[in-house]
Amino acid sequence: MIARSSRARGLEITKGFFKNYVKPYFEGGHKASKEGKPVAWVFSTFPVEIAQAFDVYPIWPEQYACIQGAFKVSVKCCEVAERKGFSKDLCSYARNTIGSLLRPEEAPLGGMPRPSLILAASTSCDTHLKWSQFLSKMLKVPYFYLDVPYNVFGATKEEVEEVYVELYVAEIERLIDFLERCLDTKLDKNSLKKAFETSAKANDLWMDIMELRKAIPCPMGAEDAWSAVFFILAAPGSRLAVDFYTKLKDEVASKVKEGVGVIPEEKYRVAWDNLPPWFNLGFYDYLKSLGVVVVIETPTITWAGRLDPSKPFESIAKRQLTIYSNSTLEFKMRLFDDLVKGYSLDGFIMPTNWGCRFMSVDNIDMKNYLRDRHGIPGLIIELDATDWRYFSEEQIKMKVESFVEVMAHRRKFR
Amino acid sequence: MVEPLFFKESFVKRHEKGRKLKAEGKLLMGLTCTYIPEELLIASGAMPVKVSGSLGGTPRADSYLPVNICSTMRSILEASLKGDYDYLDGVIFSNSCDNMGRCFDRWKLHLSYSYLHFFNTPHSKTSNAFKRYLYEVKKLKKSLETFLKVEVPEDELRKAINLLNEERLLLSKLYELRTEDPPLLTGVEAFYILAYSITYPKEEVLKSLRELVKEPPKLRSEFKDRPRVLVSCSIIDNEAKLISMVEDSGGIVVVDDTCTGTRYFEGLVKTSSPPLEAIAERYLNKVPCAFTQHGEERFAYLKELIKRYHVEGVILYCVKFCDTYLFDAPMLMEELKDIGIPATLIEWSHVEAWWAPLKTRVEAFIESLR
Repeated sequence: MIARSSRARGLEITKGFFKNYVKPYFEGGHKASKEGKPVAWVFSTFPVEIAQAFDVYPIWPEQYACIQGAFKVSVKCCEVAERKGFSKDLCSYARNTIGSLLRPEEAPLGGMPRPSLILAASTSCDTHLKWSQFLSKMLKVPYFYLDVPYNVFGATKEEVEEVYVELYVAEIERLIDFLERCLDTKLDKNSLKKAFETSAKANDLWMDIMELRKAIPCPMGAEDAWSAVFFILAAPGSRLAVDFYTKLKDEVASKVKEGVGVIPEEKYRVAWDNLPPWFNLGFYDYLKSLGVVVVIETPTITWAGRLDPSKPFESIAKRQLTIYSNSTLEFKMRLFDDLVKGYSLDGFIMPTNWGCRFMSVDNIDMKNYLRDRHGIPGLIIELDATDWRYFSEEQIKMKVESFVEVMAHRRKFR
Repeated sequence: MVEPLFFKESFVKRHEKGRKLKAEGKLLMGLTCTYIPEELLIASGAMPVKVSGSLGGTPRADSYLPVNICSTMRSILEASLKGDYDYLDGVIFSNSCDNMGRCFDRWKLHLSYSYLHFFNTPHSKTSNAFKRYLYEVKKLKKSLETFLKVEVPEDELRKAINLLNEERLLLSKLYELRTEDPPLLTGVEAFYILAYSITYPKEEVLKSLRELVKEPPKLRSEFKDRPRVLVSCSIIDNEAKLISMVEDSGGIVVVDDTCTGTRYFEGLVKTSSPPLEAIAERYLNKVPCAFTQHGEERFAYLKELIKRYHVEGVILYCVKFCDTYLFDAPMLMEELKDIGIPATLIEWSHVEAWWAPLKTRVEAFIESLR
């Protein structure tokens, strides 16, 4: 039995999340694949609702890589990919999944369920294009890449260029045509409506939960959010997602009502701007031992968002075009402004994720921005989401201690 | 008659030249990528200058960029922060890769060019991508017209198309001189011809290229029977060290697959179609860079070059943290292995500390080809 990376959970519903939700979800994928039902590997920021309208079972390779990290097999799998010629500097999620295919005996949960399609979008990063294409070539599986403009001046949903929205919608139409051809079926308008309505509900619930985290003390920390975000990413257009988030919202709301926080004495409220070290989720326990609660994470709050099911294509186009990973510094500044105020933050933890350019590139400018605009500290630490060879725990802990001192000092003189 | 050395000497003085032109009232515009249509700049009266950074430390850029960003964009940012490009009126970025796209923010924040434009290049070439590229072409045209307070008539666009097509044809002819054994141009010489072409006024470039095509360098027997190498990467450093290392080790670089080489000039703009559409068609369908969805076409093109230039070995020079080329490398290595062409992957960075071990690796590779 492999020792998994674990941490203390604050919520009842996320206790046993892997066993109760993740494992069955992947088993469902294996079952669908065996029965010849369509399974798609869907990469982040892809409008998965469209695939769900075709009754496709979505599997997220990134989430699988997180599981590899949590199971502490990620470095072994990365090394397999490196021996194949993939550089150590590339995204470790990509190296992980490639390694798991080349060496299936190292792969938890019996590996990723065999796909019949691979779907990726330009709204995340270069890696997603190259990685997804490599996988489709390796497995000889039909491939779709949704290619849309970059939100270069960080426009909001309201400001995004009309032509860009039209281009996004045109890509959705191309996607529908692709799915119809691959699956030899026609899109059922009712299924599409249902997928979007369900997704809109799940997204509303998730955004409500994110709102509830603004409460002091915070009812739900990062240690729970990193798990709970699973369905909003993998299968937002499913009943499963709505049921799970309904229960989660109830639990979080009751904590807020009772004034129960993540820890008995919440001293510092911080945001986390990047991915977590999946192989060392106990790091959040360490933060809590210092009275630090991660009350919000930029990926969890920005990779979801409210949808208008009455205008499904336009609404998803506007949301995805202006998503965190497709937007520039102006977006981030606005987001940080909202988070600092809305979540009453004392500081930001901003990891530089070794294999990830877009999530790391703004760190220095944003750290300066937080200091100059909001007078709060940003802590830059170096790590990689699943490759612990880039994680020096002792060094990071020293930095965290100084960071806590700065927050304490600031509080004294505020 | 123009000697190959002329191109190197001119390129070394490119910033002085730029300042001189600026003082004479010329308007100069920096470009970061070969996917930005130069035709529009020329037609609107601006001179395109491909920007590049030098080898060495990047202390200014390091204060804004984390460690895991590629040294190509880092060194260009450094050059601008240092004032190397103080003669440019503006800079145009392309949505080519994360490193480039995301570094645009640093320019918005830390540099004060009066004109910064972002060309939202697609990564595919479907009919939607064509619509999008055409939209970006029109947007850039309008933006330049507003900034320069000019109107670009169609005949100016046609003239610019013809001018750049001639440059492309001349460069292709010069590359042909390298198919023979010995090649009439070395890899280093060819690099500087290109480096000059993308940083000097096109009228001067055409004049020099025409002369060189008319009177190519004499056959030099010392370049005969050397292992013939193709280099493939995003860019070559602007001192051509990556190529010199091959040629100093006894090899000869006969062709390249780089943005500072074939990817710049391969493919003409059709003169029979409406200009803006023709421009969009050419740039979208040119030999693809690794950032596009068409990796396989790049591989096929490489194989074609290998045949045409009688290549005996391939060096993939990947810049550290350049995701798109690093991702292609294992697949490309395998394809080359399948056709029996020896290849090696060498990661490099603009930081000098990297160079000593690189040289040893290149020497060993050339030795293995003998």
